[in-house]
Amino acid sequence: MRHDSSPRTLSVASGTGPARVALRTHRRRILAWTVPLLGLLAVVAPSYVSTYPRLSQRQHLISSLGDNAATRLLYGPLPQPGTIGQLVAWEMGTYLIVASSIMALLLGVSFVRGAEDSGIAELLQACGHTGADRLRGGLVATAVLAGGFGVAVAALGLAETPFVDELTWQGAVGLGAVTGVSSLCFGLVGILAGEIADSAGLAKLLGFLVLAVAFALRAVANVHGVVALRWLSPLGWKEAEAPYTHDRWWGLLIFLAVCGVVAVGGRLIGEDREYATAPLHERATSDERLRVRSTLALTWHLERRRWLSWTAIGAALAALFGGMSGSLVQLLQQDASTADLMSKLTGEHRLDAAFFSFAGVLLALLVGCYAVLTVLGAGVDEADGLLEGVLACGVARRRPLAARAAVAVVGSLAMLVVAGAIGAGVTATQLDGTAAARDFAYVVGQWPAVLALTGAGVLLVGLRRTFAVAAWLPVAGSAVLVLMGSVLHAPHWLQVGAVFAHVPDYVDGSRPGTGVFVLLLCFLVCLPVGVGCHSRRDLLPS
Amino acid sequence: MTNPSTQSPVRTTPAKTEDAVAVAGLVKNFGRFRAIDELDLTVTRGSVHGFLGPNGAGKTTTIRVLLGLYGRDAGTVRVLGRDPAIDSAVINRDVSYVAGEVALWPTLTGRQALDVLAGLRRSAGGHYDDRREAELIDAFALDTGKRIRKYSKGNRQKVMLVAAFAADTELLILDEPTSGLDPLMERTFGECVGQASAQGRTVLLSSHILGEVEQLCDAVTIIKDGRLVETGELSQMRHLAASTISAVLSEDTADRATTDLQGLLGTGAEVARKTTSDGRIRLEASVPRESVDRVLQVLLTAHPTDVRCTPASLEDLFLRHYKVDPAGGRSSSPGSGDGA
Repeated sequence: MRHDSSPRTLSVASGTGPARVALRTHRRRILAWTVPLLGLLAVVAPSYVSTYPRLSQRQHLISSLGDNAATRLLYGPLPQPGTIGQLVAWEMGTYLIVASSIMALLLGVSFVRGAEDSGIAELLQACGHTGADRLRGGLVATAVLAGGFGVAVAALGLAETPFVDELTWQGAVGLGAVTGVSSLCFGLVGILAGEIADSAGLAKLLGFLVLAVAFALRAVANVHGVVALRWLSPLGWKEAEAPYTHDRWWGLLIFLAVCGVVAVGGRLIGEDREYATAPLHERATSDERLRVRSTLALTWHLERRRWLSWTAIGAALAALFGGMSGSLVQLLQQDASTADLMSKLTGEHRLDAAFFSFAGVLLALLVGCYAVLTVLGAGVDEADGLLEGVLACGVARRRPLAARAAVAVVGSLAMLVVAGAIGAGVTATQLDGTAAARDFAYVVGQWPAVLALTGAGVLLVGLRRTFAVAAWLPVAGSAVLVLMGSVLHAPHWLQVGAVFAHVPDYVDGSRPGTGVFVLLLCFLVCLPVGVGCHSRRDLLPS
Repeated sequence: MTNPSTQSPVRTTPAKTEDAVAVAGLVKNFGRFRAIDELDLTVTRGSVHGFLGPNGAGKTTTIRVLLGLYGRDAGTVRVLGRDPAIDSAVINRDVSYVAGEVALWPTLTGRQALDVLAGLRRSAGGHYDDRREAELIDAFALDTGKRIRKYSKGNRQKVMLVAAFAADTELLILDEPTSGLDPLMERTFGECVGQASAQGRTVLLSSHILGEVEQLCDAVTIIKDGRLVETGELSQMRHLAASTISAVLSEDTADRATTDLQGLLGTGAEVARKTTSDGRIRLEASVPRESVDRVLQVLLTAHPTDVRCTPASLEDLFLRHYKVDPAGGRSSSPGSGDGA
């Protein structure tokens, strides 16, 4: 006999409860990803209008960037004739697709496997939700996340359409839709990986493998012009749909069908799966010993994977910038508008110095994020209760935070040196030895800026664990000021407040200015004060 | 599985006269919330001292002050003769601590976590006995090859217990150490505490398992709302506390005996009446030590068929203080465990 009032039947919207829990649990992460991306999107079109108000002023830029292999690999071919909308979709659209895909992938894993690892899924099942509800909740949360982000992207484009002549509503909707559907696909890949793998770490690894394959397919499609491959890679769907150019909305149906296949795959694997089980297991046992003799050695052991992955990303970016250096320096020599913009952004009058300074800022931003994350790990350890266990072994109160600061300081220097060396090596193949040295100097010369960010992080964690999140303010503020300050017409005194704005042209014989010493002083003051405060205050687990 | 060895070298405790833990007038505030209020706590060297109190009484907060993880707002605190606010690292070299909520590095195996805890202790100048560790791993039946994230709560607890008992320390501070263990492992834990005590080590044991405390501890301190309620040797506290006396009487004599008992114990005293299966009446009352003989005289004159006099158990001592006034109930302090 069928009971229509049974709990199973009552839970028609049974996925919405777990979905709400998932979205609420990760709301800060979602905001941390989406708000900066949307903020950046909002200023890109006005920035292009401000720098290149007429199509004729963009001709050098469009021809140079369109011909460059490195830019084709990263952004794809630049559509003709090069309207503002096409430039936004080409450059910012790429960032949006890649970043939102990574966000959705990570959150997709967190919605299913992460919830099981943390015990939230168990709590939901104990409250009457079934295992199928848990999976359905993850699917609904991913759809809401991707759909919401796509709508926001489209809404921003539509809002700017009346003010920027070369933007179209079809393009705005198309860019929003393709961004949403790409992130939906990777969110579903994250869920599928979470259903297959028995830990969030393994699921993320699987997901990033899929992302890497998608990036490689798109790169082959872009560099060698194999257009069909774009349809196979969710990262290439933007070029296939071509917002502001062809606006092939019908393509969205194909993309949605691919998402449907991935979702069905996730459901087939996950629907009858027992709680906390998975077909693919991470190596869960090991007889390896771990001979650590200090908190520094322990911190390095726990942080070394992060360093390796961030260094790999930094090295890849440096190689990309090095590969772009030849044609971009040539572009700067030919294109007065772009040269003027780069000079304003970097404060450099030599064109090659302006380019390498800009590349150095982007790499320093990456390395600064690594350093801040490493230092803020002390706050995470405190919240998780791990710090309590370390100190109970007789370790001095100042050591754990000092060890994290040391790993951040040395790790960031090593990262800058590796990225600088690789970038210089590639630059040498494009330009000459002097340019390669300049590239290296502009990258490694950002170390004082990273030190200052590290010091600020140590100070904030030292004062109070809950203050630690404020360590991202100088990173974000400096990034906006140094990348957008001139375009946004920020006053000079504010622009020099950016930590990344103080690297002189060492190859040209310039000496470090006051800013560099201020950054070093900031580090030298903040570090002992932060460590001192940390060793005296109450340690509060969450 | 084997029992933990009893052959470990007996720790030669230096002749020190001071108590292992001496807390006087401790006050700890979190903002406007007073978590600990004028608390006194003394743990003599070589003793096993129970630390009891309802949830939110301030036990974990007190323990964190002893370890130097929290500062204090007033009072004096000495652990192994030193002030944890100044010398926490030096103190903790000689302290083994098992937290109520065990946190370990999820990516490491149990073996690696033990290596880390041993390595950190040695690097801080403390001592750690690898042979003892191997015996304890065997005794607690701990699979050290598994990753921590795959461990149950009980297994994480075992890792910390192995590290705590294998460290060559003077003082063990154990906060709800058996909350995730099965009864067999609880027994192993009890044996480890007994061996530690036999070696002259001091144990401060915070627990809600009263049978465990009653079995293992020489002395107890009971706190509530951050204040000391009762402290002393367990045997003496039992002796001083009220005993429970019950007698089975005929219906005819029970009424008069009830009246006499209430007259003797005062109107506030409760004399419970219960009808037995054979129609007789069982009277039961909590009787102060000084009134036991007179109560027995009253009952004997009523010709009882059964009389029992039971000394106060730890549960009796404890439950008197566990009664929480809901209106006056306090919220937990920041960062507290269940017993903060």
